[in-house]
Amino acid sequence: MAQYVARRILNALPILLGISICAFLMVKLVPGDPINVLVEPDKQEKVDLDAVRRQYGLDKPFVQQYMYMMRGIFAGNLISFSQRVPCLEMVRRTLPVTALLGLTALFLSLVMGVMLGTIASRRPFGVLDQFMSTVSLGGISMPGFVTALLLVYFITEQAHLLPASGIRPAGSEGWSPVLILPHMIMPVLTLAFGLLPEFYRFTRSSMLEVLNEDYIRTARAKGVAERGVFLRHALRNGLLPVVTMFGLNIPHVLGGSVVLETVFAIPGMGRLAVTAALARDYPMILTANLIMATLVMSSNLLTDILYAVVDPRVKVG
Amino acid sequence: MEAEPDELEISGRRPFWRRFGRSRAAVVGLCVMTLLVIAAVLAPVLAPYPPAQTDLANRLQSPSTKHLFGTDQLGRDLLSRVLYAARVSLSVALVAVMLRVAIGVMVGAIAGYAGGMVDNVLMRVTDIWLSFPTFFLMLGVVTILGRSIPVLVLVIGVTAWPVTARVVRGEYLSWKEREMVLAARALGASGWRIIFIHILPNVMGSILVISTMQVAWAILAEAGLSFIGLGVQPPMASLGSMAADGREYLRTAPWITLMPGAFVFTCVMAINLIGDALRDALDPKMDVRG
Repeated sequence: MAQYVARRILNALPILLGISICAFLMVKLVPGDPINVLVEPDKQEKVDLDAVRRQYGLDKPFVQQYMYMMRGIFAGNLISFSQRVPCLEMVRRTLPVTALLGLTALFLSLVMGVMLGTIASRRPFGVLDQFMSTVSLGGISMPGFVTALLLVYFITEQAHLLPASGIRPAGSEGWSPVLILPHMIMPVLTLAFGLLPEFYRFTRSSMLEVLNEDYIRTARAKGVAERGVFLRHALRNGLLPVVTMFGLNIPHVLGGSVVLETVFAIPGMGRLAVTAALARDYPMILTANLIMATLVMSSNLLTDILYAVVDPRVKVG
Repeated sequence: MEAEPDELEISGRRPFWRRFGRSRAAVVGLCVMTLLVIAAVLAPVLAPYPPAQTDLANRLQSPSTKHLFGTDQLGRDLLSRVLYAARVSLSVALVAVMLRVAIGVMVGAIAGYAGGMVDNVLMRVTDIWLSFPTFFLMLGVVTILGRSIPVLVLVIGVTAWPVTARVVRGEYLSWKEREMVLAARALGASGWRIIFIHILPNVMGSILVISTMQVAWAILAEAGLSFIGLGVQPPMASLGSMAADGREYLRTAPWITLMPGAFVFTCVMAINLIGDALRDALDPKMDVRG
């Protein structure tokens, strides 16, 4: 098992390298002098350009430039144009918010989707199934901002039930659930509406596939009560692939947060990236992409390992 | 939403379309989509008012017989604006998908057919590319290359080709071993010839299914990007930017935002219905999947 984990980590390293090289290329691809990417053009008279050039190795060969750039990012030296603070610091502040929303939404849609998918698999094409299929179709067809704006229209504008902006009431600090929960409900619902179809469909098809297997028939022939068949044999095998689904949807969640956080004015990574893109804040967008890609890659890695832990059929030798 | 299997013939082109036609949902989807596309293409003919014509006396009118979709904050007729904006949105999405499919099929075919080292390297590149969350990657490219329609098309087209490539590669891997290919090779056909003339026509079915889903995704992506302000720039309007414009008036005139949104939703839903049915028609086994 340890060998398997080690092997997977080893496989992931080149990808990590590739991600950072891609990020580096992004900087190189900007037309014009690369110094414009690292130091804001308006401020260039005040800053000692040569010092910056030396700090980022712009006068050195490519490979060294790459290393200096990476060091700059992770040491927190890369300063964002619009925020005037190190990019890494901005990420540190905003990532928890996005993570909170994303994970809550994932968890919610996982639980709902799996529950409904399992129930629906017992009676395929029945009433619940047809209803959920329609809802699922709606979920994947709705643009994120439409769902969000619809929720805002009905809940905030018409019914005045929930606030429509920010992650906490203006001027407050801290992570107390009392403060945050009302602000979280609509964004999480919006995200979950888009994710639910995936979990529902996948669980349904996985359970149906399992229910058609021979060992289920054997169990029934043996005389095991239907309930036991379902709970002890079908469920365990059917829910296995759902583990992979969870990890695979993390990129969707991160991407979905971009539009979502813009609509709900939530200070998370998504909005950070949008502000950076609108302001042509190269260091910020670069750092954001790099961090996001690393996160996605790590979650894929974890999913692989988790799958190997949960499913004894996966070869770990 | 299911299609019944054909008892006598399983694979081939005619039963494919027959199975497709049996699904009521797909037919509905196809009709709706055709209507929407025709409406967008014929926008100059169908629009009751010029889309840029302001009429400040009639601003923020709710939908009525005079203005079927209502008017916006400058008195412009929304129906006309939506039709013209739909043209922009749909064409961007379409071209982007063509780009994406072209790249994806090329890479997938080469990786699948060549195998070995080439396959390995290409798959690694795919893995790296897929690690970047799509929206963030799109934001990154737009930051670097600026905001314009060509960049928009490029961004939507290029950020997600790996998905197509993976599927195509899988198909090529399996088709590579079939007798038909071995025979062609024995007769001296070159690799390129085999890839394009022999295997490709058979893989078209899967490519069609994937492309359909990708069009849906591209429309959503364009709408999202334009909504944030990084897509289509004024004075051109797309469905997403129209929705963004209407945000301020959400309380008083929600139709400004919701009409373009509804158009996008209907489009994407129709495409999803078509895509689902295509996928079911492609798979000849009695499939109980949802």
